Amino acid sequence: MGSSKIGRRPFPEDLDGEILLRLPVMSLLRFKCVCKNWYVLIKSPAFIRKHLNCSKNKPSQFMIYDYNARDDSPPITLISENHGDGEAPDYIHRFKDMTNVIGSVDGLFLLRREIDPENRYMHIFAMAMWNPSTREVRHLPPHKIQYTHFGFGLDPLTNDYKVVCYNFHFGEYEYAAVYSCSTDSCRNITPKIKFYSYGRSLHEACGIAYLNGAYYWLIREGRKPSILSFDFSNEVFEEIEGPDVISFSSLILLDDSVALLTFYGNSVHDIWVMIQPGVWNKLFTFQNFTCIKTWYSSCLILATKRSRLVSYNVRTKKTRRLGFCHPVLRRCCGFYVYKESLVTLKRENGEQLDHRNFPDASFEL
Amino acid sequence: MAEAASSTIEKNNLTLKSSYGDEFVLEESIAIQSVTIKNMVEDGCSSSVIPLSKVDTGTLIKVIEYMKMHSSTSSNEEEIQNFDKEFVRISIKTILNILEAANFLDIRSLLDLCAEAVANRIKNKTPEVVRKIFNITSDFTPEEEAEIRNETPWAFEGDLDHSLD
Repeated sequence: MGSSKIGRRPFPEDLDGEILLRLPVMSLLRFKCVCKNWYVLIKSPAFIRKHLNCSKNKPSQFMIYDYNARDDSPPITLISENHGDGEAPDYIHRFKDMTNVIGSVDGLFLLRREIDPENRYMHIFAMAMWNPSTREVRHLPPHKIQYTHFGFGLDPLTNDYKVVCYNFHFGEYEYAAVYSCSTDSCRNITPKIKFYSYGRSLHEACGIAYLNGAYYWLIREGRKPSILSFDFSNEVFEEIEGPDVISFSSLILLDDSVALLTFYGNSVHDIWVMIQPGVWNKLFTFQNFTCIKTWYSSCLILATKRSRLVSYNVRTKKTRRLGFCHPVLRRCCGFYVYKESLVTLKRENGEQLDHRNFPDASFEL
Repeated sequence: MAEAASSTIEKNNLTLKSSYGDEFVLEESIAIQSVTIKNMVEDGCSSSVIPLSKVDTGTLIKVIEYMKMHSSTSSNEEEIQNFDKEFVRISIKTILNILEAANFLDIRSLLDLCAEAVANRIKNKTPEVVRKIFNITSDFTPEEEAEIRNETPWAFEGDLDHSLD
């Protein structure tokens, strides 16, 4: 190519944006130093949001969390969808003593571990938010509680990421703590209705449980399901009636709808979709004999006996091989699907990011 | 025109003129994939030659090739996908020219195709090479640039692409 003409007239700036929007996060972090205009653009909240919408059409990333990993092997592996079989993972990661992962919302994960697991009377959690694409971590204030459920997501009215911890202790208290990233503080709220009673229990969803400004959990009363939702904008809990089924079920998000995946014990599953609050339709029935790892958009993510990942789309009824296998998939492991994002977790005062450890347990009780 | 004689409906043709003065005759139904041209036709400027002062001849030929393929009723989705893949197998500089033309002519699908192709080609490149491709002079001081690189040093590691194309 004749490179003499490469010194062309400057390229129009608004078209730069069109190209940058389509780049992976890693490239954008590198191209921040190209010039001031690009730096300002890549850091702007409007661009970050647009980039997020753009990456919805891109291949997914996977996070595998091996909770039985030996001390010297990293419990977290990140792999992209186009990843080949023998290749080394894109990025492996270790957080000391982490015991739980929730995610993902806009490419972010919520991690937690228990401080002092020996203490049977009081569970104290250290929590952190993590963006694996930018490798940013934000440690949250430690939280002490007896039993708890977590959720996190975006308050779309204020563009603020929030974490909600739903806490209860039979007969003593039932309240929620809401942490806001923008104020970097927690406040307690008391739900108007009590969700816990004898014979009722709360369960995490299979896959992502955040949708349009709300987080969802499944309530089981015997085998009868209903839904608990938390709205991040008005910070209100609500219980929504489930479908008229008596079956064990898992909460899933079928694309942009709350749905239930039922288990009858004979490998036959129904999917009930909530078409409006409390109104349910049985849309799909299918059979599956393989180990369910997670749910993503309209797909079950399954692991075969040979540790291969496949996705089964309930709408198209098509099975597709996801291009890699990982020995840990045979075992019990956490498996998460996410889209990478530029969403920043940095505090304005420039927190020192510690990728390896949760904070110390030394804090005032 | 032999074709017009055999056809009962006479096809409307438009003449597009590049910045070099070269003229290209194109069916109106094909040309109006460009919203800019469509607006001109609707405003009644279609009888005359449409001057495209921002589009050079080489770029215009590529844009017309694209519009012809994408308005063709005889090609299926797979053929169009293959065409698109081949279409952007050209120098980055040429894709950038087409991207600019697609922006000016307002052909969204062509703009998306070119932006995606450029992104794919530059994603593993170094900032220095990207500056050359986009003809950008860095306005950071060396200290400022070092500081930005230090925010995410791992993004600068590994096997980066130093080629200009």
